[in-house]
Amino acid sequence: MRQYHKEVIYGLYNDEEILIRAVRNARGKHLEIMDVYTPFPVHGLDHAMGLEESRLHQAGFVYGMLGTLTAFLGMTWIFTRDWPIIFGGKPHWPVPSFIPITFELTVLFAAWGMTITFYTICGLWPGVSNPQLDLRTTDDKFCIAFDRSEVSDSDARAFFSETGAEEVNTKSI
Amino acid sequence: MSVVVSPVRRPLVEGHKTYHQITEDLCAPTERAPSKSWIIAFIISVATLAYGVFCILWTIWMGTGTWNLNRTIGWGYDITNFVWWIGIGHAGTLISAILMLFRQRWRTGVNRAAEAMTIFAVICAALFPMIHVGRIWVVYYFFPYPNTRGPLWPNFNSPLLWDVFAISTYFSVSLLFWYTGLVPDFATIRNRATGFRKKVYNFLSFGWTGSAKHWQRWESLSLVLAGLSTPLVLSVHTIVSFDFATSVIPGWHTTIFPPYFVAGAIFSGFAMVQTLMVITRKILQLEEYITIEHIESMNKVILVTGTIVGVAYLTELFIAWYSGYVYEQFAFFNRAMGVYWWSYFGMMACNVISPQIFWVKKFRRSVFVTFFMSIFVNIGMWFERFVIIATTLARDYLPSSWSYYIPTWVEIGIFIGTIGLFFTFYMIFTRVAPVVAIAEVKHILKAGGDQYIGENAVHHHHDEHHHSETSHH
Amino acid sequence: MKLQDQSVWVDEKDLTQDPIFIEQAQAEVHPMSLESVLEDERSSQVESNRRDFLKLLGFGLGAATLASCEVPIKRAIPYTVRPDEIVPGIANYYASTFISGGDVLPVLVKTREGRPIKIEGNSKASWTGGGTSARAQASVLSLYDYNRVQEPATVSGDKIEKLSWADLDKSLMDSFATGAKVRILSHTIVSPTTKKAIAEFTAKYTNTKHICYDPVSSAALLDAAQKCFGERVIPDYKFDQAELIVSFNADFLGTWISPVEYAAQYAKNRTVHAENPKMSRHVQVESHMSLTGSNADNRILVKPSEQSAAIAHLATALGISSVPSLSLNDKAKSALSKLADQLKASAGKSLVVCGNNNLGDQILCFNINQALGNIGKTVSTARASFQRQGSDSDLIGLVKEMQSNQVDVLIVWHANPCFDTPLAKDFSTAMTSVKTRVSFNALMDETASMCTHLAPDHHYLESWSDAEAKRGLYSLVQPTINPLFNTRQAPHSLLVWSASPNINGDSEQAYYDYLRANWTQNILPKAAGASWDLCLHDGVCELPASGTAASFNPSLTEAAAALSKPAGTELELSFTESVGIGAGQYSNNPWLMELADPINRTVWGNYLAVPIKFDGDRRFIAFAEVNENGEMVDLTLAGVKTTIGAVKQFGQMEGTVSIPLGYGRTKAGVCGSDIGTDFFPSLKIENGYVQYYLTDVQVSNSSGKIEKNFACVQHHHTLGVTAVETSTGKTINADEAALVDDAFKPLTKGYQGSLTKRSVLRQTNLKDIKESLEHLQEERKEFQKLNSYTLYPGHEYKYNSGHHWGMHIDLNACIGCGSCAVACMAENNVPVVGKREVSRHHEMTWLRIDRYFYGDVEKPNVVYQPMMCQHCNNAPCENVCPVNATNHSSEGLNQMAYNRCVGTRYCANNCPYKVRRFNWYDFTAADLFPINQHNLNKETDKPYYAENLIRMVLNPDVTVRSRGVIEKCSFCIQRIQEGKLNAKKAERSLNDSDVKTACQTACPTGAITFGDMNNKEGVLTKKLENPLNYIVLEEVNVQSVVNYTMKVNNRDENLYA
Repeated sequence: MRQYHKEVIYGLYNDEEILIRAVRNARGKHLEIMDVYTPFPVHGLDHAMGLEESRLHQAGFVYGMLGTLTAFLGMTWIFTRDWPIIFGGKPHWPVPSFIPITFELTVLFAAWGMTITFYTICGLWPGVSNPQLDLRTTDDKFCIAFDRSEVSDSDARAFFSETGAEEVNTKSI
Repeated sequence: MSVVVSPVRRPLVEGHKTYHQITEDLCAPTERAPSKSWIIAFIISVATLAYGVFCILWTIWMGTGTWNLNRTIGWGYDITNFVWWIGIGHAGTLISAILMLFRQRWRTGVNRAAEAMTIFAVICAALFPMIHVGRIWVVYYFFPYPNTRGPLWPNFNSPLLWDVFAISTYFSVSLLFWYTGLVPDFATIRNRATGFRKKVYNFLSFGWTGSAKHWQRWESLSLVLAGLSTPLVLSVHTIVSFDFATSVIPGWHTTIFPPYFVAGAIFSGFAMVQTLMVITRKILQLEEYITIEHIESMNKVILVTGTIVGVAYLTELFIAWYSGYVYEQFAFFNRAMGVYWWSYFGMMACNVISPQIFWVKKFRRSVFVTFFMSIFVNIGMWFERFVIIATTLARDYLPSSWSYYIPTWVEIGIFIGTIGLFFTFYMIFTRVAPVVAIAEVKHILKAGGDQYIGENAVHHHHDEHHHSETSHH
Repeated sequence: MKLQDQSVWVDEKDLTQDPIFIEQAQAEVHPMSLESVLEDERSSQVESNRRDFLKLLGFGLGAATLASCEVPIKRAIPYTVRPDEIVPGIANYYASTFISGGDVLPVLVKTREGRPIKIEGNSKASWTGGGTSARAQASVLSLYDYNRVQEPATVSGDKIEKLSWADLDKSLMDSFATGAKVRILSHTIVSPTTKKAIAEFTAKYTNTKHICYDPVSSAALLDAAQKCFGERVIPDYKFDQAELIVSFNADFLGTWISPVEYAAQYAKNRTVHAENPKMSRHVQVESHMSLTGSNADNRILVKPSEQSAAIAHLATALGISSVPSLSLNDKAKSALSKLADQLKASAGKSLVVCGNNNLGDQILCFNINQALGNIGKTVSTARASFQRQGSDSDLIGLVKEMQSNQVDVLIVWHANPCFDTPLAKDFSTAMTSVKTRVSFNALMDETASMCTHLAPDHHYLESWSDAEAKRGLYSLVQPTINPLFNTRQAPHSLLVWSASPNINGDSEQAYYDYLRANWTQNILPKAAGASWDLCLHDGVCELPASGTAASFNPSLTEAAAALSKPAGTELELSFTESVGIGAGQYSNNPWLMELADPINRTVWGNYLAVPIKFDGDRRFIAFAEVNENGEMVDLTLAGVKTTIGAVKQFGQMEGTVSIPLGYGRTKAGVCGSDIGTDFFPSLKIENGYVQYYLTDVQVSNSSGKIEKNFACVQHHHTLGVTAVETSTGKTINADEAALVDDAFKPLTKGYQGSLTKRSVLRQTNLKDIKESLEHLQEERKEFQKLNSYTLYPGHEYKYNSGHHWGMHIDLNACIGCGSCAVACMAENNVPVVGKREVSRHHEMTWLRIDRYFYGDVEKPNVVYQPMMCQHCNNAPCENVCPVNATNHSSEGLNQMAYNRCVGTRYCANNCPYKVRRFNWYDFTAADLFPINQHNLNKETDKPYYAENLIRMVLNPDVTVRSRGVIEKCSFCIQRIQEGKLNAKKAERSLNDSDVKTACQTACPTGAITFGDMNNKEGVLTKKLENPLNYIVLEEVNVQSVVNYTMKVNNRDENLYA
């Protein structure tokens, strides 16, 4: 969420399917949607809104590779360079023995890296209070919001009544 | 909705729920005052936990000699319990991750509680490798950190070290997965709460708003975490099995262990989920969310994994005979007919024979049978680990060193204590977080709600499906 | 730290009892304590008292924590003026002689910074060859026994009054006044100088008599020698010159007369060479399984009361006339007849010995040897042994004298007649009639506690003395430490009391002067080229044998009269002597208490051995229905009932049971008291000789209850004992059948082959040696082929350069005596753990001697397998240690870094040989928390190892392990390092004989060889060339570096046919 002051007009819908139709409608009318709030992930909404594909998983791959390299190179350095010690007749570079830890660190780095990235780019952290338009959007209401500086109130209201919004409100956030 | 609805599928959410009704139902347990039965159960759990803590302190203070392990049997109750708890801790991530990847919609009813169970079980499990050591105050030697001793690093050849990495990774990734799922639900509770509770849930929900972009990323994260967790969950028990499989002890040194352990882990994990769900749905009145359908699905998993485990037991016996290797042959002969025969038969009866009743649909759908079977399976799986660990060690290569082992009150106390720990955590969890994932149930309502599918479906929604988008996946 | 009540000092201020120092040492946290701050008046004047209190409390806790991290020893004081011989960190060895009654052994004493810490054999002594016994090895611990009597004192009732030596001397010399009847009672005394002192005392107080007895008597043997050879000595037996050894109940490898000497001789003809397989045959005639019997090729079972009959039968079969015929069981009869033929064939190269305390038996045995032409060859008197001198009749006479109030003064000299004689009860009662009772004893034992005067003797490691164990074979005892307590050497006391002109009261070392004078006068002149210094340096002075060919007097009429008649009772019991604690003399030595009995592997207690047989189906059934070892039975001996734990004993003759003596001490000290049951009161005296068997015996059925903390270190006993299955008539492996749990009744034979197919133990008969060798080599080839399929190349390149340490153990030489096990404990600071912990299998031994039975259940053979860390090149323990605490050295050693060990026990689990030991508690009191410290046997105030005095025995070169870490055999790495340093200092390469492990040097038979496998000229390499060698569990591919030689027995099945 952006943290600067905004005047918002929003409409609440009862059903995700009506919501998706409304979003398509808005896109057809070139009304710029500020944001949509739903109580659960609605499949297809991002496409309807024209949101870009998330690149989070690509970041995850990079983190994972970082973990792989850290583990494998780290263990290799320790066993062959830093202090080569003989264990049970195994060579100093026992590659099969390195597989489990390499795998685990790959997963660990990827999972933590992605999760931290996710919360960071979404601006979600313990104690953060992001402004909310309507408390019911985490219950059973689906909300489309327009920035009043971008979309005029009349356009918005016309749009909401056309697409079957249950309620239309304005709010300053 | 953008999902394909199977007409033969039975509804997963019953009672003509609306989205709001779901919110009401699932938030209610966190909002109302605890019931009398909850309080009593909680006191019992905490009391057992306290006893367990006492026994752990006793062990640390007095020495590992307070356990009956000996020069031959170096691991007994401690590692048996460790593997048992780790196994139990497999169902949660399995349900969340693998079933998510396989698009098994029924997982939504149980995944939250199962994931919580995973985390608590892993905590219980991780306790044992820590307290079973002789010098707990230097347990940090396990971790590779630059030091002034040479520097001296841990031994990356040791399966026990792999365990440390596997379990800590598993625990933390499961925690991330679970908590990320919880964030939107905490936001739901926050938006219903007032005063101090609102503050607490605001903190817990990280400022979640339900923005479309967040949901998109959230889904992407969930999917990748599921993708990562799937091999992770398989790796964890595989690595635990390496503790034994990479050794030279007959009965431990077995290539079948990784798949066998994983199947066993899923088996026992699902049994524990059943135990908890049967109680939870009853006490929290969630029968409409955790339905007989869920129970039946899980019973099918139990039947399959139980049978896999059974095949593994028989394979072991066959291979022992077929190998012609006297130590291996004797190890298995001894398991079945030696002094610990009762644990082998407990294992066979509980794990292989009794789950076969789930071939009968009536039993699969019986809450009563399910509950008792889940307890059986947990006992059987405990026996399995005891057989593998203690029985095997008791009689290995040199007959001069053969021994016998029965636990002391301290060892039993610690085991009971971990059960107390587990239930204490679980009971707090049922009071703090929605036991069923709210957002995810809403998400599948149209695909699994009884007003949409099945015999009770209300057909005026049907035409809307025609207009709905087809899945882009 | 309580310091002042101990004789150990940590600081010179402690030594001088500096009061300030003691006060400081006692204060845990000083000088700022919480109370002192709170009591400060100012604290009540300031306002915020509560917060200050918390601050102070915080400080107090912190200070206490800090204080607890530091042992309150202030500073160490280095030697400023260093004694000439002492270099800190370098061990000094002094030649000395271990003497305990008749147990005599020339030894070297290893001292570090003035503390004796280890006993080694003295290889200069020709008759022992440098071997040691477990008892000699453990004797160093007795030096530091805090139960020792520490000062001269007078005792009246419970009141002990300390006094000075001068006062004691004065009060005693009054009692010796002319005419007083003085009796000196001792065990065997082998010291010529001591005997001289006694003679001086006797000359001064003419009414004195020295009486000598042995706790386990050889009086009949001595008397028989008197009759046959005209001299009351133990003849010299030469086991190395005998092809056929027949022993009637003589445990000559374990407890009889001079086991170390005999074992060394015996082993010479027992090691086998594959090319020229030849070895002696050993037949043991006995009822119970003795250590010697367990090493025998054949055992002929006769009941204890049939011993005379058996000897008589053999004598008759050998053509000795006028020997009465006594009834004997048929099996034994037939076997002995066949044995007679074999003996005839080996005439002059055979040896018959007898351990019975029966004059007739002994005379007959001498006659048998005479008939076989062995006298002068394998039996001679030229080097007669003085290691037993006791007389049963003298002891009986003394009791009678005391009972009739004819004794005025009794001096007890390391003898404990109130415990270790069958007359113990009479003796204690009669003793009260003696007015003055003086004790030289080291402990306040059963007898010393009844004495009026305590004149404690030095420990032998504090003494100057000498010994003549065998005629002309002298050795010296020299002190290796200043007396720890205010004690005085016993012969010195005698000389003082007799106001001898030969003892110089003003001399600093009066008794040394006396000893040296005696040697200069009487001994050194006989030895050509010997000087005092040389003798002292070597520890021994060996005179050439004087050839006095004694005439042989058959004395057969006396023999016939003395033979015992077979009792014909259903059950007979034999009393045995424990290899470790003897007849109770060594009870307070925990190393010996925890030395496992070689046969039944029990520790800390004595158990009734009951015979065992196969029920023809799938169970071993023991007489008296004992199912589990340790179950309690009622034992009724001549009407006296005792409840005792029983063990099922392979090789125990049917109709007989046996029990070790020496346990059940009531006043032995913290470790020896109240362990086991005393059976001395049950012994009978016949014809003036103590008899070590009983015929009036009843044993009840087992009560089913197991003795509390029944401690046995080996629960499974066999690697395949066979028996006939009744249903099929086939011979099956009975032990494997017995492994099936009772829940599987219909399964009878178990899994046949589960034990016998293991590559743990390899044994064969001498005549099958070629076949077995082929089989062995074929099998090893197969193993090695399989082992060559490997993922990893290994580190041979590293091991092949420099040293690669290895070991060889000859199973044919190992007799199972346990001296290596005790030596290992002494060398490596291995703690003993006490009865309860052993019962929980928490024993810490780095080296154990596994004992397996094989062969037929009725007449099994035994093999001993010393088992320690095998230092595997592919060590499974190393791979699994998560923290790198165990790994491999480039010299092939499997190393333990105790400090790094976290204690997961994973390595111990993954050890195929189960040689790793875990410190379950703080057994050695190495930590600061007293709660973890461990009591061995009910010590309540201070655990055994927490005593500073006991800790003086610790080897400073070996880490004392704390609780929670794993330990194991290190191949005595401290000795390897020492050897390397010595070689380096001498600027030469290390020879493998430079390094000898503690077990190796302790072994009387040379069964263990340690060395460098890369040293192609070394001793080890030669041993490794033996084609009979094998590696235990070779197919597991752990690449152990310990080689064992296949056990070969020379059993003759025809003897049983």
